[in-house]
Amino acid sequence: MYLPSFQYLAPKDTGELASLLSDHGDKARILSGGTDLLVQMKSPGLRPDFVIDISGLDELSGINFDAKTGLVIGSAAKLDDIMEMPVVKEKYFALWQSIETIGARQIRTMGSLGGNICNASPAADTPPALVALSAEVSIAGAKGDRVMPVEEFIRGNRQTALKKGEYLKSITLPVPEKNSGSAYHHFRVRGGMEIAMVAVAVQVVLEKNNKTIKDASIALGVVGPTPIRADDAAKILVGQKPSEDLLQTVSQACADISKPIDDFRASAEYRKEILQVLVEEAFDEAYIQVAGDSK
Amino acid sequence: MDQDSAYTREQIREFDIVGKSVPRVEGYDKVTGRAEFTDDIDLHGMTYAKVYCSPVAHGIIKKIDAGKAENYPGVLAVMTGKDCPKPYSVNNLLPTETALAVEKVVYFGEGIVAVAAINEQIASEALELVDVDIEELEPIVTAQEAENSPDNLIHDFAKNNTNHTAEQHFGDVDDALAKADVVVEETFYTSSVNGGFIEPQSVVADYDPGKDKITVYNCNQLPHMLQHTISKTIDMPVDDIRVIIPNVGGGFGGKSEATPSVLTACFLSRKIGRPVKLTYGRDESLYQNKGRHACHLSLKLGFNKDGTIQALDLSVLLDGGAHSGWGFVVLWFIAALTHLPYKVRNIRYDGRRVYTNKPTPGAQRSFGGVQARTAVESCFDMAAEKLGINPYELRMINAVETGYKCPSVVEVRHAEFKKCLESVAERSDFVNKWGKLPRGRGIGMAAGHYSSGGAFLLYNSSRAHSTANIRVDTEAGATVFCGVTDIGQGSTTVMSQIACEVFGIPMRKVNFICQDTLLSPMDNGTMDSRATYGAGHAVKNAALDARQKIFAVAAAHLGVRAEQLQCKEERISSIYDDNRFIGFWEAVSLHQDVKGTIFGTGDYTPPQPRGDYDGKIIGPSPAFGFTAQIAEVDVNLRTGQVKVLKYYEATDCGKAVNPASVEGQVEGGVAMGLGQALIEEIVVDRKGRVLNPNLHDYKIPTTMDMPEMDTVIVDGYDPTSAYGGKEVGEAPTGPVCAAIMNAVYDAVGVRLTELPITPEKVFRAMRGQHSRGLELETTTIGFANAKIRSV
Repeated sequence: MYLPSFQYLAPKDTGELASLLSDHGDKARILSGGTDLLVQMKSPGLRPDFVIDISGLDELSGINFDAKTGLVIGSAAKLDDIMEMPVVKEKYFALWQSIETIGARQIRTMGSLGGNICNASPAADTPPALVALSAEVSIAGAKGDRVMPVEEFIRGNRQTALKKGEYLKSITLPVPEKNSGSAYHHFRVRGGMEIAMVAVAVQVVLEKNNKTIKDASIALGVVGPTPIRADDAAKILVGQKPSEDLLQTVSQACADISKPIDDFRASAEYRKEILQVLVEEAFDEAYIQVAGDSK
Repeated sequence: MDQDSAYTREQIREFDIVGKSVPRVEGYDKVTGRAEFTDDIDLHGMTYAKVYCSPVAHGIIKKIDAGKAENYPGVLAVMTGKDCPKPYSVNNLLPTETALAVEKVVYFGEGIVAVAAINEQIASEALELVDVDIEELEPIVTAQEAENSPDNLIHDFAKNNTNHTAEQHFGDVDDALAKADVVVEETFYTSSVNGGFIEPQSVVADYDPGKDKITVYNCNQLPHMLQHTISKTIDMPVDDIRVIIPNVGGGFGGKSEATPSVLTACFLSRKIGRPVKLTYGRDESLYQNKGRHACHLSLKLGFNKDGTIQALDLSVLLDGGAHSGWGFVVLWFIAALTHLPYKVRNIRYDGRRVYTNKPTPGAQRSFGGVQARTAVESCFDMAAEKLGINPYELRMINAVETGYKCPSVVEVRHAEFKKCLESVAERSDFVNKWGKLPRGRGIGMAAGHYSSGGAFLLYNSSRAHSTANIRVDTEAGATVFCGVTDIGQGSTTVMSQIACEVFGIPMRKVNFICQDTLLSPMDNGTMDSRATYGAGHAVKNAALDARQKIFAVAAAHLGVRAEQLQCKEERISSIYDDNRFIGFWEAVSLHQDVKGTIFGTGDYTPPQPRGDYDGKIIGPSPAFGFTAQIAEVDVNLRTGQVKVLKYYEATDCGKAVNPASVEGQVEGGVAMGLGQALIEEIVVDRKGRVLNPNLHDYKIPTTMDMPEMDTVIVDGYDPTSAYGGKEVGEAPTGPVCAAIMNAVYDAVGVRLTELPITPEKVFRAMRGQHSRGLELETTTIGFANAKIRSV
């Protein structure tokens, strides 16, 4: 399998990147790690005339945590480098878990967080985690920067909010409140090198008593063309202490708004069943991070 | 003391190199990337071919417009099915396969047009200019549809789309079932899986216009059979065709026949007078398939109260895909495999193989074995429950032993099967755990066997099954010429060990020349787990022949009788007086001075039992390997996901010539079985399109899926074998699905009968629902230029 012909461009800085994008627009694709792009170019269909490599741009590769503004990840930052930051495992556990499940070490060494988002695969691992952690993306363009939540950025299957000439600059995750925990759970039929069949990310914030739920967010993955932010379901949790009944109500509410597909991998009905299991498991794990083992 | 010193040492079964885990001869090259595979070959003037694959599974080719491709700069030749229309098949039985589709397309992905160009990219670009007009016919995508579509024939000659039928009856099954105390009955479906070898098929054909001969490099298990297929198809005499097999990146049976690409490359190379390389992508490799047959089985077993098996009544329907492949053999092999490893006297078999518009299955590791074992071993557990006998005990009661003669002509000349059962049961504490683990945890047992090469050849039937020649001299050491193919199983190492053992020389003194029809004598090839047993005999015989000549010189030099000499540590000495010796190479040198280079030759053909019944030539073997296995599983009660926690296996492969390789075979075989049990399946939609032609959606297990494995080679020595060894390459794959299915039953009390046992199937079974046939979505697979007309 050989790649089709294309012109390879490697801008020196984001200024040059912006001008290349405005010159070539739809005829260009951005190359970050290539773990999705190159595979797609080897299959029939994707035939960009220009491939613009941003992997060498330091401006887009940073990973910085600030106790006030939160975690800012450059769009070209490598998945493996993100995982290696202690603060990610410590404060953004759902993100850490979602990265850890991607491909194998080789893929994570090449692949970038920005790429995982911009590829906008319904089965992508990091978007549900980012949504549950209320992450926002910064988009750079000729008319200045735009900021929006991840769930608004991903518009559909393989579709993003990026307009002609724009590129994804960075992803910002706010500092989690005190007493909060998060988890990403996915279901897959193979133990490794596998994509999720259903995925759920949960973030919970507990009151000072470490029992009552102060706030929660839930994001559902692979059960629709884009990650679904299940705010109505999450609201059910607020002000409550967890119980089996409560969780069943919440997981049912999640299943009700999910729109999984029927395909040869699994039926929609089964995916909904699994979704409920994952909501409960992810909640449990996130909750236990704060409250310890005693519910 | 016996006069043949080597034989004497065999009697005490003490060897210097046989039985040792010497490193693989080719291991360094493979690990470091030095090893050359077919696609690595770079010949002077090389050209590259690409194939246009059919976007429909069944249709009439109305028009092919390849004019633009032909004129595309860099394109050297364009070929269609009409250029090379001669059909072929394994053993020339019902030949229907062609280099490229002729008039009709019978499976998705079938080649229609091929282009040779100065590089692969130009060939690909040229293919995009090809215009093919196909009138689509209703595809047949299940075996049942095939039988029930008398007016929709995939091949005109095949009524009801029947490819082969097979019937056997030994004893009186109806009477035995009527008298049996307990009868169990169940239907099963085993899925269509692919060998998933890491190296997709590749070929380089190099026609030499000056000599009018062709050299073909191809990753194939049976170079001599390949020669014949090429000869028939492209009309060249066999001896003008030289087949060279470079390193092979796994075969598992799937590379034991010609791919259409071989014939396409040969034709193109002859047309343009330059070497042509054609390497499949993973998608093309999966369209060609030649993996395991999907099979519907209906099985009845009858037992007496004491647990003795009385009767076995099996009918099967094989989904044969578009062509014959090895299907004829698989169909009969399922029948043959039901005779062992249990002593059943009344056996009836009714088998059919039908054509469908699907990738053609062929011979995959433990072929016929996975199908037979899945049904028989599941029913054994069902019977055990009804009889109130532990499944381990039930197997022990019926297990075959050395000397057992089946009601067919099959004879078991050596078996340590009971030791295998005992070993796994003891190590896993099976008797105490079975039926007693908490819900969600389960333990299951299954067992099996496989032949060490058939007693009868399927082609060139009067030839010896294996021949080996050896040249010994001080210029090159001992050089073995043998036709067996190392597809990763380690035959080169094992054959070298055998030669070293005879000569008493270290491994580095042996050269092994194989996989080249110009240099290697005719051999039945690597299939049916026959290499160590069959070719091993030939190598040993050739080495003994050469050694006898060396002994004659050494005997004269030492003044002792040749019969009283032995070889050890590069010395030839008297078996009575170790101080009377001559260096091995000194003796070789003496021989060369006096009589020239030493040549030895040897061959082997298994004993061929007499008897007359349909299907007799498939099943008998000079030796059988045995395996017993136990799976411990965890079933997630909420999701239905099955996780295999621990796997126990015990192998009877006689004497393990290379124990590390045996361990590799066992673990690899179990991994392959586990994949089929849980996650692997070629999925075809209503239109006959393969929905998962890549290793992303066609899921072979990763190390993360593998349980901790506890394997043991039970003590054994088959005295009929060259050095006591027998089959181990296939038996371990056979019972894995059944062991896991039995463990799932033990865990959650539901019996899964349809592979693969996906989480969703287990989930539904736990809820008492049948898994419904999913309406498959159509996916877009890029064949942009094909016009498809619906009828």
